[in-house]
Amino acid sequence: MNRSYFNSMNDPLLKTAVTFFGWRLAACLLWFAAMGGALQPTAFGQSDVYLKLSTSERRQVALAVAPLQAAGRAIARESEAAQRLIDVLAGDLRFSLYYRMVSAPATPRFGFRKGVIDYEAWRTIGAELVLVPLLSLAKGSAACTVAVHDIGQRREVYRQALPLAQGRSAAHAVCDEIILRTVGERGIARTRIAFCLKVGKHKELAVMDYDGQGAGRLTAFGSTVLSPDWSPDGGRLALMSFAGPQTVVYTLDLSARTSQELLRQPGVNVSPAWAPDGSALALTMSRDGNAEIFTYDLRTKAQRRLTNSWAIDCSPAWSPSGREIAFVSDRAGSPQIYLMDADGGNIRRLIYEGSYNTSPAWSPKGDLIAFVSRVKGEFQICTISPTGDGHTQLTYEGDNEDPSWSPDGLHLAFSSDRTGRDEIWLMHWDGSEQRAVTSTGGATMPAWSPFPAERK
Amino acid sequence: MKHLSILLLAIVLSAVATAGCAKKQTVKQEEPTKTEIRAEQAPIVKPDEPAAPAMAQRVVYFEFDSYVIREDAKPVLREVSKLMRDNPKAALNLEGHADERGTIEYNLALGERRAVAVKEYLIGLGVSAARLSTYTYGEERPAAAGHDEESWAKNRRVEIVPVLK
Repeated sequence: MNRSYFNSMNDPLLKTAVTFFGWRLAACLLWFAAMGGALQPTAFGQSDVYLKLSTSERRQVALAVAPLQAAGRAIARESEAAQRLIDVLAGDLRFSLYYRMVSAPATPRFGFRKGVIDYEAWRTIGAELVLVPLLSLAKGSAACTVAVHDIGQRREVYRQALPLAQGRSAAHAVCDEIILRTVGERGIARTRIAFCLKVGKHKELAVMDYDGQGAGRLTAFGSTVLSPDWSPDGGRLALMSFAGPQTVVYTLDLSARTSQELLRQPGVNVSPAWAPDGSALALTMSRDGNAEIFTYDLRTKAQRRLTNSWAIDCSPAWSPSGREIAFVSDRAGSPQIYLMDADGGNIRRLIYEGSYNTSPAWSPKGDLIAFVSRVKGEFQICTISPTGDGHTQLTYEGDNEDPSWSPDGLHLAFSSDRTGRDEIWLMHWDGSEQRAVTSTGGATMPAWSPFPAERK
Repeated sequence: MKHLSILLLAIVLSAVATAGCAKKQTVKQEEPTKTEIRAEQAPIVKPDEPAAPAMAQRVVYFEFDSYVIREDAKPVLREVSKLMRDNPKAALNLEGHADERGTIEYNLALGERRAVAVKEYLIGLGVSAARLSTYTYGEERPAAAGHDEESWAKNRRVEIVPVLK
């Protein structure tokens, strides 16, 4: 899946060939386009072109984490607390996929000579970056610092305090900063996952750190809450709940801790999806007689119907550009995934394999759409490109539903009942390293938050 | 006599003093005494809701992934339409459900589609659309808690609930 068309243009012979045939080829293509281009329906049409940017195409940087260095007299209790946070930091860095973790030999004081880093030793084990945690005791209080050394440049390139009092969130913040400095990307260590949690006989919304820690209940609606979806700035959540038998769409303001009713049209009001520019929601409403996709402008409150068929049309999912929407329709006789432009035009079917395909989730990188497919009677998470190729099954065990992408498009959260209970699971974009991050049971419909707001 | 006059004087003076005090002082809010109003022996209940038409709730069932009215549902729906004729004030909530398999969001839509199918069938039997309201619970309110076909079959349903308009 390596698209490096433009790299090949360095070849002078190829360059000549393209120059010679180029304009002739362009003329032919223009002629076909003028002929209507509708000789056969193509999946491209007006759709965006996406570049494959997953880390299978990016070389991972070899990173080693040195043992905690204590300067001066360090107290055992602070050492333990610091080591716990370093472990969280190392786990975040490893999960990010940007690094290939290199283990240091177990020999004591490896990589340091008289307290100073020995670059040659780290080079011999293949490390390109070394993370050195340092604990110092000054004026009776312990301070932890993290330094990053570039082995090739043989110098320290970055240093940051890791305030022990701030706990795990300090480790997550340092991870994101290191990723930004060494790889130039935004990390997900400070992101959160909202999800539905069974509480008594109904479900409320809960939210936790991306790694499953710090889970807390967010709503007390007293009636089942479903389909959480974050606003692009991370300040609000759209969701749906029941008022008696009536389904209603609400938004939550996370800082004001208030909720607001948005839509209670006759019929269903379900599956809200926030547009990438924050201006509207796509959702499913049946106020016109059967379930159709609508957009709802948050400023003007205008409702605009996008689909127009006797069939069920539901579960809209925006492309990251906001120019297209994936959705589920049973117009072909069974639930399948379709794409359309954000104004409802250019509807085309995406998947032709399998008799039940639902729950589309468009990667924020744009290159993959995750979805749920019924395979041999069970429900599995799969991915496919927006042009309909590369259909890949990622899960193989139990019933797996509701995939949600991390904001960097490299990881997926989903629900799985493979252990006998509904839990939230994580995996990388290629299905590797699947692991549960909840253990309470009754956890479904995860929604991965956007990147945290930029620090000023 | 002397003691009596002194006593009388004291009483008058204290009355005047307290009367003056009463005028100058702001009226102190008295703490409301907390007494519970206990339920009487036979507390009065509210009158019965005007009796919902003598219609028990009925249920019709569906095949997997389907919102087609089954043959075994048709006699039930014919009976419902007859009862609706006999009870002109009655209205119905048609509440659609799906079994736990499949995605939560699609099952919400499927539940509603089943309710709409029942509504359309009843309209075909002569029931006025204005007396029929459709709702969905998706897979959120299973009737049977098991994870097998026997339970799933009981959950793929539309509940026909009589309500007062």
